[in-house]
Amino acid sequence: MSAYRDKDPRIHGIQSKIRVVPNFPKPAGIMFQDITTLLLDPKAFKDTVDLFVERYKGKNISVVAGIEARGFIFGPPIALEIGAKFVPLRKPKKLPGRVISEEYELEYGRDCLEMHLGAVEPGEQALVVDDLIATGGTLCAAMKLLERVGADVVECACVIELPDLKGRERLNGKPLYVLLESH
Amino acid sequence: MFAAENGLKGDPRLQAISDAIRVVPHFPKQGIMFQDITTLLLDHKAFKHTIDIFVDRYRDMDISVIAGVEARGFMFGPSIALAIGAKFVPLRKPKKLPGEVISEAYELEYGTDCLEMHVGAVPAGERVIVIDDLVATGGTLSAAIRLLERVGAQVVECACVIGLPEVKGQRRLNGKPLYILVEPREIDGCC
Repeated sequence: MSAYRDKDPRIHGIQSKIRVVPNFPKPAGIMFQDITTLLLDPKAFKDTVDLFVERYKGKNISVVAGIEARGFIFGPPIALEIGAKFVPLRKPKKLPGRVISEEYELEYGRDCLEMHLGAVEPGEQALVVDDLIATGGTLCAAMKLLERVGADVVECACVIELPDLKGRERLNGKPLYVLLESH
Repeated sequence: MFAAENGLKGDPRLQAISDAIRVVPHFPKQGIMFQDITTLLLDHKAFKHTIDIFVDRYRDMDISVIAGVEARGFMFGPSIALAIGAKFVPLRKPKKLPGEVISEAYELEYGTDCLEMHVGAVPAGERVIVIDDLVATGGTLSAAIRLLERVGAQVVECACVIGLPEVKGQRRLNGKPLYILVEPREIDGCC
């Protein structure tokens, strides 16, 4: 599901503010989708948050979990507007209290995502937010963390999807909502 | 300067914010009483109060940029920026920003670290607030101020939720005003 396909009039403005940076973080054709230029346009940034808030307000969502670090930029404004908690999902050793960890595969090697124990209660309805979904590995790990503590992941929400990397298929049937696609 | 000394004395929101912060002893190492703001983010009312206080302060100060220090500055900065119609500019650890950057090194207890900002994000003359969750020695904030001044921006104030004792009594950091909501919490009867 995507706002892009729904042709919301705000989408074009948002898309035009995202900068593509070739060959980052490394050469060999990666076209990096840079959302920092979106954050420099207050109207487009507000439209981005509004699109998510309109979708999720009043739906009984009590947790917005954001993935470090760009998920921390979009998640909290959404959480504040819909009356939910914000829960940061972080790289290892950043969270000071007791955590649970979920490992996931990278192109080369593995990484790990952590969440504070006690942040989310069983039965809570949760969203996972990040700026972009590529292979879906990180989002998948995020969903697992929430499910392990008994939360119900209602949807994953990203500004941008790279559909060619088929991340949507890695979400174990959980819905994914994005504003834009990039091929 | 603390919010309580600057128009918000007795404001019950400040107590709610302070109460929502968790202290984690001996993190990241022995002797450090870590001020954990993640519990503040779990308390929707207190989190909203935090943002509202900063928004009320900055909305009429002609601020065009909120610069947030990675990563906890990202949790507060964007909401403030959105409410006052300002840009949000992330100040990041090395190699995270994809475009052309400028870098500023700063001292850690052991060694140095580095903060980066995208070239072109902040035009000269723009009025900026730097935000982070906490100020301790002021090393990171000082690096942030230097980055912004190097591009000709005007840092109007540095804003933090928590200010450690090192900055108590200081109204300024590198000549820039410092605005802080609460002091660190202590644990009663701690080991």
